[in-house]
Amino acid sequence: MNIPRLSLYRPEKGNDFKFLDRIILEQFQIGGTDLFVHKYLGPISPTDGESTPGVPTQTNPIGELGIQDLVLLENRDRHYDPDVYVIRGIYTMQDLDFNLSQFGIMLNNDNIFMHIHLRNCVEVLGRKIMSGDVLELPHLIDDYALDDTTVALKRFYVVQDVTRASNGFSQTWYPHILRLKCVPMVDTQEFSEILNADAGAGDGTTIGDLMSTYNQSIAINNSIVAQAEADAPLSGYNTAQYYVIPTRGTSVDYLDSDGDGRILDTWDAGDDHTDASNDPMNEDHTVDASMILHSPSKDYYIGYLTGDGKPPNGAPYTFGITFPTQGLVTGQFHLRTDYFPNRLFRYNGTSWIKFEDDVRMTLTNTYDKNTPNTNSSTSTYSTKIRETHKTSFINNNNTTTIAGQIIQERQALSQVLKPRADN
Amino acid sequence: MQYAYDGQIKRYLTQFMRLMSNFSYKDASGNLKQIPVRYGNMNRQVAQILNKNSENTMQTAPFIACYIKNMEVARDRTQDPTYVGKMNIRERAVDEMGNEYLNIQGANYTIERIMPTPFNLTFVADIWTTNTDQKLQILEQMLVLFNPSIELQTTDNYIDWTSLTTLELKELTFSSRQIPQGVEQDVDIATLSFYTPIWITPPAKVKKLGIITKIIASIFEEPPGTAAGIPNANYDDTGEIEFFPGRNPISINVTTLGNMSVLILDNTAKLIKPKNIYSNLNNNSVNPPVNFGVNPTWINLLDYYPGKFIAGLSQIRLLKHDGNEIVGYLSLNPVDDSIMQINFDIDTVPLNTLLVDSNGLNPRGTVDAIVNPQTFDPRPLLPNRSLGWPVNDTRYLILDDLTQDTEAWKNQDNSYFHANSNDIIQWDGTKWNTIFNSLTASSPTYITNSRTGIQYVWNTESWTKSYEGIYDPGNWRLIL
Repeated sequence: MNIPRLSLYRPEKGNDFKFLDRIILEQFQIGGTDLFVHKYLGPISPTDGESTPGVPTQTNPIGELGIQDLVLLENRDRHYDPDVYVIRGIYTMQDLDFNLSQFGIMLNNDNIFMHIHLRNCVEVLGRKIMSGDVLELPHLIDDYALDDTTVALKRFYVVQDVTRASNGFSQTWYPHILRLKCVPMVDTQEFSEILNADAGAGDGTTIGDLMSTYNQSIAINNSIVAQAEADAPLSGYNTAQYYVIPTRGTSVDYLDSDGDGRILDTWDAGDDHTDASNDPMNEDHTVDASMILHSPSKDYYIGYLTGDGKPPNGAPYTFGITFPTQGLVTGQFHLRTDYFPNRLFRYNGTSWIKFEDDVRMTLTNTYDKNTPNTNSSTSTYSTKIRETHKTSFINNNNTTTIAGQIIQERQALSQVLKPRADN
Repeated sequence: MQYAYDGQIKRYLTQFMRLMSNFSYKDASGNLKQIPVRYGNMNRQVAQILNKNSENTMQTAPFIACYIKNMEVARDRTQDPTYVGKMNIRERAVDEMGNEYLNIQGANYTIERIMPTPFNLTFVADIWTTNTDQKLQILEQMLVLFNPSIELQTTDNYIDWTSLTTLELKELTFSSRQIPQGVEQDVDIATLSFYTPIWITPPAKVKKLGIITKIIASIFEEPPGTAAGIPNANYDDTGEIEFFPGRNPISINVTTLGNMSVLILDNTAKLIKPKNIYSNLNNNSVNPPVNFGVNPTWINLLDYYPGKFIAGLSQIRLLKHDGNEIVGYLSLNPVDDSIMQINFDIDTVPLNTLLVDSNGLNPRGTVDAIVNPQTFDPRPLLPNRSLGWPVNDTRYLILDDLTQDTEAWKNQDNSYFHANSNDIIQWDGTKWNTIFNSLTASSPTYITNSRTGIQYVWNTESWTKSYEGIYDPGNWRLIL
């Protein structure tokens, strides 16, 4: 009599496997917790015209198999399914410690190892869960976060590694359980699609707005910049509050060189414009006793980057791209805005003499000329683009027309005047 | 030690974080995202607050954390620790509300700054990124700025000589990860280290403007003989060498602002044109003096002086022969700005010289009147139309000689009194006595005429008003 050889292993996944698989799934259903899965769909293709051999347009029919950057071998801009899938998982709870050891960033080192049912995962997601998928653990929602919003904070993990759990094999030698190594999700470029989704608060707030420290970090950063701008608004030195005596000579022996009894440079009948009420500079200014002084012919408070394009002693001035030609007054100031940097001139009765250049510049790296730093308390300076000798090559939105074509002045050096494609 | 803290190192750190700020990266969709920067050595409690007191809060990346890694004394930049640098600053006046600067002169200051202490700071910027492309974008934008350094400025104060320094990129650790990666995929950090020479300074001294308003240049004659008067000592000897005593100045040249003289008369001061302005001394041909006009105004001169003119408080000081000064408080004449009204401090006016009578009694520094003895009769007219005798201790300064027998100056014993011009005479009840003899008096004698209140001084030749007159440049000054 032949007794059949007993073997739980079968070359095919037979009924024993299926029986055990159902039992194991039942265990997950009974004892596991819900996992909301944000399914990774593949990398985002570059915008039109931006693709390169190293960063190609994604054409793979299975999106998840695409690689965004073939040089650096990374998928940094990821596309996620807007639908959320629910599966069950089991993991061991652990105590968390915040780590503040190095970066000024509070990290929690709570890598967790999640176990999920393999077949159930494939049936729900349509594929095996993979690295890059994001898990949302609804049972870890924090209802008591120190926040003024009414939305509870969710808990997100990113699947980093997926392996078959060693304890997930049944007697049939076939696996039933996957072991996921999960790390806390960080608000970064890779997960922007998830974080930019509406949080459901009804006010347009995104999940990232609620969950991330980004907005707070930017606010702190802006406060630091505002403090720095308060300490040093512009490069160089501010001398606007100082008074410059308008002298007539260069030494005490010649303080009154024309012998008219006047030491200071003041108006008199010999001046070319004696009626201050007709002075075009004073149209909007009250003429007071101080106006009898001529404007200083030179600045006393000079030094490294002290020119601000403004006359000393708060004297009035005009500005434009040409010099005024009528109603000229000795001592009149005019700022030529077509000079870079702007140049302040003083009329000495016959000629316009250079007085100073406006060389003071913001020290803040404004990152976008069209997006001023509106959070700064000193927005005047934040909106001034930093254009020093070097940064004028970077902060440059100028265009120029050459041979009938409008081109951007700022171009990457490697791309300048390269042959154009015929198409 | 008094508490003194100005947040100097914190300002360097603030400016460093400002320099690291406002960089951004671009994602595949072309969106720009600003990279936050903050201080690296954060307090745990603040970190919990940023986390909203929840472990669910997500950290953000990329991120830049800045901190000071090291600070050491820069002995190679140590300079004279006792050096004091001075700056003279004139401020614009502000309106009464203190909100707006005016275009007239305000307060004036002299700022004294002591030599600051040099240090070298090492700043570190940790750049935390989640992918290599982010890191390359950030580094490329940052690194081009350092060739090898850029300026770092902590204040825009013209007086702060410690405000400007440089930030030099010294070291770059591209990645904190091991390559190839192991089991764990740690956060990736690029570390930039910067070297910054800085100075830390004690507080400055802010004083009233102390610019030079008078220069005295004296030329001394050489004593006869060869090196007779020169001390037999080396010039590098630190011992006392008195070179000038015993030598007479050949000339003293005093230069003041505008070289103006001042006329003091009837409690007023008036500027007058400078004297003796020569343009060509080599040919011994003296050009006519430069015409300085007749009415220089005080307003023009006051702007040059340190301090702000305050009517009733600003002083004029007149130098006396004995080296002491007469102090007067100034206020500008409202209708003539070439005239200053003076209210003299009587404590600084010269004291009257006490003259005693012939018996050595009744010391007094005043005379009852200044009279011409040829025309003045000291005898009072009595009610019965007869002439009486002067009041006892009556004193007169006489302007003319009294050498002839004059009826009006008879004594009670019918003898005639004789005296010389400029003498001071006194009636002792029975006869006239000379208590100040102008022929023998030599030292300056100050006497006040009780009738007018004007003080006079005897200059060995004549009586003059004691402090009224013209004061040349160098013999008067203003304290505003």
